[in-house]
Amino acid sequence: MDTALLVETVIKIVVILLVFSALAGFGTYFERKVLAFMQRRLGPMNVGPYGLLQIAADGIKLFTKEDIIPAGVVPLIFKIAPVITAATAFMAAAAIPFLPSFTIFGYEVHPIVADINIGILYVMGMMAVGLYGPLLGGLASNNKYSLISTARAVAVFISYEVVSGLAILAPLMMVGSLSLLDINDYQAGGITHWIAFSQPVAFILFWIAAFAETGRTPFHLIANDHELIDGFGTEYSGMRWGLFFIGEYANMFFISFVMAIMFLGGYGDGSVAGAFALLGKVAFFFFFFLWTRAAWPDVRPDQLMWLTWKVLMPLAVINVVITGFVLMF
Amino acid sequence: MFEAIAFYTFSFLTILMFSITVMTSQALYALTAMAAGMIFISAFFFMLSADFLGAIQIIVYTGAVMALYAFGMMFFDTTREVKEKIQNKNIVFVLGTMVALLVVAIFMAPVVSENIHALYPIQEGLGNTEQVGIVLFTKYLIPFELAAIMLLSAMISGIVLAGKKMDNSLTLMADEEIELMQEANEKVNS
Amino acid sequence: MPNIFTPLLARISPLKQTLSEDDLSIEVDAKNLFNNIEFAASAGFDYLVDITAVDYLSYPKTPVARYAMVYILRSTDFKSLLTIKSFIINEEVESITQLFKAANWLEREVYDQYGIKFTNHPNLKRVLNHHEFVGHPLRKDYIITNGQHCSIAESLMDEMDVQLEKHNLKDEEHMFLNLGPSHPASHGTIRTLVALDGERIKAAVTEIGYLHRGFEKSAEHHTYSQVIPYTDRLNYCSAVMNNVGYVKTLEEMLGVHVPKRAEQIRVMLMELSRIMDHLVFLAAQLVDMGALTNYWYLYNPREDVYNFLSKLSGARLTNSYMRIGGMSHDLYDGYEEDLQTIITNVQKGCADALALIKHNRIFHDRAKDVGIISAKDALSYGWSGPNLRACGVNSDMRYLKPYYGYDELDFDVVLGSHGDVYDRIMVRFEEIEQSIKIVKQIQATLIDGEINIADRSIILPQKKEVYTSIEGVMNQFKLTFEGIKVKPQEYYGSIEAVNGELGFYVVSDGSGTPYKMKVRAPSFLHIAALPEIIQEYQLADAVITLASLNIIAGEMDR
Repeated sequence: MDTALLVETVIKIVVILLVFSALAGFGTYFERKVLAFMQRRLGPMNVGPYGLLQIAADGIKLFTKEDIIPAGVVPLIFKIAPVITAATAFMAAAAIPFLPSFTIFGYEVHPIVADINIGILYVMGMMAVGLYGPLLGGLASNNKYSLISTARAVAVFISYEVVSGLAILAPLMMVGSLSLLDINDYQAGGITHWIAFSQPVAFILFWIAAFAETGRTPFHLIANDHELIDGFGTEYSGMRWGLFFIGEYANMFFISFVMAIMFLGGYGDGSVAGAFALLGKVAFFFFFFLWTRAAWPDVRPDQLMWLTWKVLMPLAVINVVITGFVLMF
Repeated sequence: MFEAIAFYTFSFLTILMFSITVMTSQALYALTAMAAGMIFISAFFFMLSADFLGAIQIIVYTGAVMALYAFGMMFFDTTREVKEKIQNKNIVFVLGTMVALLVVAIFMAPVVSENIHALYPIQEGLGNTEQVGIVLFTKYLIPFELAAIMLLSAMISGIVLAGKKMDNSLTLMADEEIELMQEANEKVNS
Repeated sequence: MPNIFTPLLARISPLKQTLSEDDLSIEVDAKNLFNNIEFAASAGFDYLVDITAVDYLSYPKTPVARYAMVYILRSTDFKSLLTIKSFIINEEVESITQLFKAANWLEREVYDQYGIKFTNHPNLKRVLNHHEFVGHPLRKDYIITNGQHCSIAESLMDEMDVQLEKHNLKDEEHMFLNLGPSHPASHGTIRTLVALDGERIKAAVTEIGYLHRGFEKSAEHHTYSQVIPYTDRLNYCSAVMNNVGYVKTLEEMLGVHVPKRAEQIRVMLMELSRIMDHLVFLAAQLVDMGALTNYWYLYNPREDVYNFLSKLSGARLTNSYMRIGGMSHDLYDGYEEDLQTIITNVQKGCADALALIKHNRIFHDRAKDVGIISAKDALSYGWSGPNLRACGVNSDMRYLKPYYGYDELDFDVVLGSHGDVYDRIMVRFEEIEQSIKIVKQIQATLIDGEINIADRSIILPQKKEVYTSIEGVMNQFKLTFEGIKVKPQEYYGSIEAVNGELGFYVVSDGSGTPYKMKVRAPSFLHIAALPEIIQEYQLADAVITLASLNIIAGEMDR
């Protein structure tokens, strides 16, 4: 392993960490603004022009707030749980190609930290590990609301892992590779080659599962404020709570990237236009997360389970079987 | 050099995590350490360029340990220490040692022996995933299918055991059905 | 005399009886009390309005005994009122919980406030006051300034164990969870202890009283006019409504009628309050389901109503706009424009919110068939207002016993069919529409004229008179310091408030302060049914069911 590669990788990791930490912050700002405009109000306006510095204010508040470890919790687990959420969210980013490769100062840069040939599997796995944050946080909190939230988290994630896994199976059978780069190149031929058109069922199923896995409305159950106060986050304060938050928003971004690359052609042929198109697609998916939050109520946990096991999973299985037959004959 | 550093680091971490799993009497620590250990093991697969197995290790074991957590939640107050009832410490000690020795013997055998050849040698030019697939669907086809059938039957029996009331969804039932069910409930209650 | 009373009087031979229009009040012997109530319930008076007691310790005319129980019943068609009063000797009465479910909490309240014991009551314990409280505050010998410091919360397991036993459940198989008193879904301070099996609620117990401020005790120490600002704090989402309910009762006791214009303005403000309260309800209800945006769509027009009331009365929340015999001042110039803006904005807000939820599958799945209560149970629990109408029972006093010219107005009584959360939401959406219709009609027909009655023993003189004439000064002085004199009587008056029948049972002793006042608060009776409704539903359903009852803690806890 040569030193150049090591340096390059470290730089990439640092850049991704910085960019997406900042984006997670801006994500909250976007969310508040988008929701505000949909709800006929202004949103943050007081800190900086159009409230742009609100995230800085929030950040300062979160960082300087007292870190309270309540009595009766399991201290060590309680402390590391938020770190797991944030860390795994960023670890998942290692296998995502954020942009097509480009040349800078005569040096070719691949904007992907580790081009492992099972990229999508790795991303899904890491996002699954991310669940340990809410899980451990909820169990260690010594709070009944956190406990219910944990139970919901386990049920929701296990169910939706199945749906998202089965949903991407069909496109993967078509592509014949688990590498996100290969998947992107498969669709390089333009808009007609997008997997979303050849696998519409898989696309929609994965999209629904993405809502469940990131815990967004209408599947905002794990930390449903009206029922569970803040779920697993009830006992957290300050930056530890902030880490959960960053993890959640980073996850939203990454899953948007995955969806854009998997189903909407990614960055296409790798041109500059393709790169911007990828960012546009990601922005659309992110916006869609906010849009549903403004438009829809939440479902009930048992309805969510019903939806998974009685509707989505059979659909996903049928989709896989049909894809298999089509590919075979 | 990097590989050596990584290997020793992960070895240390894995052993440490599983030691915690065995030693601690706090259910939450044990489960967390076990999950962490399982994930650290995947690092060895990645180091051996078995990316597919590494990722599968993560996905499968996070799910499996998650199920363990669910049981943990049901049986214990996870924020308190579990009081174990050990009636005879000697039996535990002897059995534990024997099992450990057995495991060591099993895993040392391939290392000591020199007559081991791969029946399906690695085929050049194929990816990791494909190779796993080829082995699974040729040499291990029958065990693989048997395992699949076993899991299927386990799943069905699970549904039968747990899902007796699964069809009673008030949102999907017609009004008359709900009334019937409520009447039945009232009879039970009164 | 309406026919409905004939069989009643034939069977019950009351010691005393007074009849006015549709209402009969009788006094019976304590020995036959239970049987008489049971007979009245079977003879058509099957809706329990209120139970209270009167302590005659310091009453000018010494009666037979210190305590009297008062039962107020309503006929099946809601048109006739029957008040049964009975003096009791040994502070013990037989409970009527087996006749009416509503009696459970109402009797607990009487026990709490007066210390009267009810035999055969399933759960006779305090309901409004803290369990550590010593004494019974509404007894005349309890000194009002005698505050007590209570600190330890109740575990409620005594009630929970009864519930568990009733349903054959085991203690250790359930997780007990406190929903409230401070929980985002409790909309104030209500505590519900639930026994959970998974997320399913197997048994529930509700505790109220966190906002109990002793309204009734305070009222006994203030003149009739001074009580008006207190009524603002009952249902604080529609303060004017409580004002009107209170002054209307007093006016009926005094035997005066406010001028037509005052009636019209009152109706207009009441309907605006109804709109406002329903908007709050709908906003909060939908937010509890996670439908966030509706909150602003519905709250922004409410802001317009608040601005209107603020311009009119000088206060946004606690208006205190009504006076006994009229109101503090007339409408301001140019109010029509503001009213028009309100109507436009409310209609737009409701249309937008409905557009978001009307055909939304998630909303339907969440709201339909959740928190169902049958019409029979709802009546037994003494429900009223939109909650009862959602069960399909027409209980609208505006329609059944019109007052203030409601009979001349064109509006529909909105009825549901199923008694679930969905019906409660949709009934209110439609009631807003009907209230707008009423406001528009009032605006079109509003006549000019006086807003106050001309009686100087009730209405304060003009400021000009006070400053320039000795009669004016004396008039003001007497009315302010001694209060309006109400001749001795016991009267129950009610209006159709936002949440249902808001009644005031007032006992006057001829002085300027009420001898006793009891508020018949609809929310108090609604919340009593909550533990039963939410059983066998999910935690998430319990949250929206609680919201769908529109519990206003100020009114419930008084």
